[in-house]
Amino acid sequence: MSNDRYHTVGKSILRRGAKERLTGNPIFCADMEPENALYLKAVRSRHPHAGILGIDVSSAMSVPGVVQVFTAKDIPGKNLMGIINKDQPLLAEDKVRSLADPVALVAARTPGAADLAAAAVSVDYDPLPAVFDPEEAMAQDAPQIHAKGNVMVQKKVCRGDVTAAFDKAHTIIEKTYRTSAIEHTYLEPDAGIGFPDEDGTLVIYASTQNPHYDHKEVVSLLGVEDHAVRIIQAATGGGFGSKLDMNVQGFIGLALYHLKQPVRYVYTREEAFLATAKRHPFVIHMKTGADETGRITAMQMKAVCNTGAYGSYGIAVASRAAVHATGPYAIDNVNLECTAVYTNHPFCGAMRGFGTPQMALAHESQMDLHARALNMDPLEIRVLNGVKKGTVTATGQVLTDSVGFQDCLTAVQPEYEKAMKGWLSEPTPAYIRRGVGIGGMWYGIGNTGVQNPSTARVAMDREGQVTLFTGCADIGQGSTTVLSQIAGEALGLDAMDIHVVVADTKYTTNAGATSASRQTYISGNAVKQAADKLADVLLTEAVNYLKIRKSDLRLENGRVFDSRHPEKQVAFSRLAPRILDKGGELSWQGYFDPETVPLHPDTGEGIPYSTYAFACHAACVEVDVLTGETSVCRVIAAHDVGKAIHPENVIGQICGGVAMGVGFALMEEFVPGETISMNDYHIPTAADMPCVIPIIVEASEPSGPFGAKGVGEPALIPTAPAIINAVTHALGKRIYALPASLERVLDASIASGHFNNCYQES
Amino acid sequence: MLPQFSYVRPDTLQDTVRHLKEKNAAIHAGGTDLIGCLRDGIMQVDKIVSLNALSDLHGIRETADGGLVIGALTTITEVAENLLVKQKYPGLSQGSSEVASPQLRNQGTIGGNLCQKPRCWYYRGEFHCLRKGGNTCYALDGEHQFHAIFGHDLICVITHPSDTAPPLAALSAQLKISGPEGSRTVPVENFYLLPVEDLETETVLKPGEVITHIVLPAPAKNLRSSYRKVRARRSWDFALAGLALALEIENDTVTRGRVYLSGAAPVPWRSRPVEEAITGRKLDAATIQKAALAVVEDANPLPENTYKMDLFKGVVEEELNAIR
Repeated sequence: MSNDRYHTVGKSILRRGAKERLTGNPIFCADMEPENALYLKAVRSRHPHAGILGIDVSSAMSVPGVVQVFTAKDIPGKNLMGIINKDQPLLAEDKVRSLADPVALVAARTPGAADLAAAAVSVDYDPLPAVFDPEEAMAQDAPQIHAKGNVMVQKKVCRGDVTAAFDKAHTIIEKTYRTSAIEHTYLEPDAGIGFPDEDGTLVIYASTQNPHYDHKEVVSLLGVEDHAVRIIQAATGGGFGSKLDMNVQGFIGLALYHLKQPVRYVYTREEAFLATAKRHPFVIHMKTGADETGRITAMQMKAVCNTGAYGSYGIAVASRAAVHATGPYAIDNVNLECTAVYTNHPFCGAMRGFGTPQMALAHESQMDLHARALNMDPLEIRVLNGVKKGTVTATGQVLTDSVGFQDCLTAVQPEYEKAMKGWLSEPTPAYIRRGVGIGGMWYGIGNTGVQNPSTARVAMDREGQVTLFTGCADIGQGSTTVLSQIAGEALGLDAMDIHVVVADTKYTTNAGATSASRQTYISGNAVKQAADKLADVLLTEAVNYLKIRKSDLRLENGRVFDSRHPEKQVAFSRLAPRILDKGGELSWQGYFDPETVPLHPDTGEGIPYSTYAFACHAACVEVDVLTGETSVCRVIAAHDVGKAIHPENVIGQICGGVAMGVGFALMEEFVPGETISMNDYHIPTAADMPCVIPIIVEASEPSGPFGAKGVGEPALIPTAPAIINAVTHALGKRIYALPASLERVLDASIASGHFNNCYQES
Repeated sequence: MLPQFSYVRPDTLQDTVRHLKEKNAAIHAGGTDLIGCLRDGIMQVDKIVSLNALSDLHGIRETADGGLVIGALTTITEVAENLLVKQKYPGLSQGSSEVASPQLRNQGTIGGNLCQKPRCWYYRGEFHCLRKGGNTCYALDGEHQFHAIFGHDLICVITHPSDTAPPLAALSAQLKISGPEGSRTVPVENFYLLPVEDLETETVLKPGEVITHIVLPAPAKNLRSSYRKVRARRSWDFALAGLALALEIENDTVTRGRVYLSGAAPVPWRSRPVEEAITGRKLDAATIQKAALAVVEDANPLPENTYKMDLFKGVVEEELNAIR
């Protein structure tokens, strides 16, 4: 699509914040050092499950340099946190439910004193039986982790008649899939600083994805008025969902409240590994039936996900997993169920995709299994079943616009065919086998069947300078740049000419979480609406000034002009005082909440999202059949984003998503109690990265700003299934559990016979 | 958090040895392993003795007989990229280039690489394990998928992390060591101690001793050497299984062969069964098959690392096919 009709949208302008980052400005919390700041350190549980009989802080208090040691009784407000269900105390009261649970908080003058004192806090524990397996935790006699039982939530989606459809099916495939817990491993470990300002407000800078939620939560913990706390998002070095939870913010708030002096808390990598959310490990039982042409007619899916000790975003993960279980395919008869269960593992929460990457492993493996059973090409079976305009989804939603899945399949086809015909048959050493695999995905933009509005303000001052106020946290994905472009497009300004005030609860209104791939679409719409309102006021005043009708007027370069006679123009700086002097308004609020219909609790019927992103990845892999080493050579990644507001950002998201997908597919596995830091946890290095060929598909979304949807999470989702399908293609043997580690690939190679016969075969 | 320590940088070997003799003194060369050890609190250190003023310990030079002397402070990158090393001992060049990541190879030294502390998540974590003076090997009953299948005697199941020691041992390298009693020479193959021999330390270095040079004998005319490292990812990772070969091959027949494994045992592990299976034979499919089976003959895997048996078979098959 041509970008010519846009002034700044569709152009990869310099990112906001690039210069500050490249020149090493102290914009990250760890680099901010308020004078005389105290160092905080949480004392964490030594038990996965135990009652607390008593906490003795006396010897900790006598460590030189220690200022205070806090326990739950020092929390003045409500000692419970959680964005969906409030079940997580800031400091444990009567029991601990995981090794990560904080029981006390030390404030000291030096990091060394904080560490010593933390070690000196003595907790009298009464160990309780613990349960780690979610299926075991569902048993009647399992240890109870929370008073309300271990099953946190069960989400269902049903449609059609699954039993009848399976009876008629030509082929039925039934398999069980498992995925691992994953640590986000963002570049910047969690960090925050706080200080009281002149009027006593508790100011907290934090590395966060949701400052307005943090604000609510800190206010509630401290039992103070809203205006007593101000949260400002510091530069945030990645989040991927983990910085949606309160990591350091509550501790900083508590210490500030009592001590009224600057404090700081920067997690070590070890603490970030121990104490922050993980991706939910899933067990997925999936059964699908197809007719003789390869059309999938029925799906039954039962998944159990381990949410660990606390809910965090677990409910959202369960409902999104159920809704997305079919993948981007039209399946008329479904019975889908996802249960999230408490265990004594450290808690799991949001991570890029909310259960959808786990589900994609299952539905994409099933698609390939059906293709194989019917001797069809994997791409062909996806074209046959893939959603298009008019498809009715599992929740009964009719897809009407911006359904670009088929376009994504078409986009990868040439490279896929080249790989299948040429690359596969190139000569390799005897022990190397090659494979090509496909992965498809869909992803609903925004929260699932619930309100999730965003707001924004666009204001012009008397001199004509425009400022955008947005609560949207830019965590490295580039939302501030994109939102500036959207405002700039509406006002005929360069994005960089707009001042921005971002994610500061004193000055910006709530934009909701930077999650669910929602900010470009939802906050983008809020910004656009505010900017459009301002533009309209400018146009109205320009009609009066230029005596030209509105429909002929355009905005560009800080002025309004007549499109037929461009020399007839007036600068914003002339219009602004005229509007203000007449009592007009130059500060406009925008609001957008996508149209959804809540899902029926029993059938899941409803409209969970107003729009979906689609994608298809093709992966080319080489497997060493003697060692199980898998090397991903190439990933072709086509993404329907509606409209790429900033194409380089989209490509950045795609390449980053592929990197994360390679890790999810082949090496990442967090083992509670064993995985301590990056020493024991493998994420891909540059040497593990394939060549990525990003393809941007733009099936315009009518309700999106300039047609845009989102890409943040979709980027990751199809990669792992494409790699697993490619490994299967190479070996002729499938792996059903992630990660497909060297050990598992080696097992598959042995089972396939290649391990013993590769030199004879060649 | 780093502990408190004093720091000295003597400019003579004599002073270095004098400082090192003191209680709780530790050597600083590249520091890439030392800093991690200090942060993890796995050794008690009061004094850090830097070797970096000892200029004699840098660099690679050829000996009169055609061998090489490598100073212990030579960086891993220098060893990996040195043309003489590449020509004479490709196995050592390959081993060096497989160490850690480019940044760590630029900083880490060959001497330090030989003296790394073990990699075991219990040893490096907050577990008072056998090797730290406790009375349990936590890995034995715990998570040990990356641990040893040889030479552990069910005492301590660490694997030795070095990628340069196996090729050096295979190439019959010797270590020159200076200490309070003067200097001595120890073959790399005798440098390491099994858990059954000593649990406190991994090497024969006595208090106050330091490796100064590595001496490689002139390569035999028909010498072929290689090092292959298998790991979970392509960079910055320790060996799950590795194989160092130093074979003399005449008319397709192996006349002499030394074979060392990494990722296999608490020390670089000499595989005599493989040596026996190939020495005096042509490297044909049958011999290679026998060697692949021989490599795990005396293995003692743990429940979670039996896959290493297949892995070593696979690596032996792949590498013998490649070198023949």
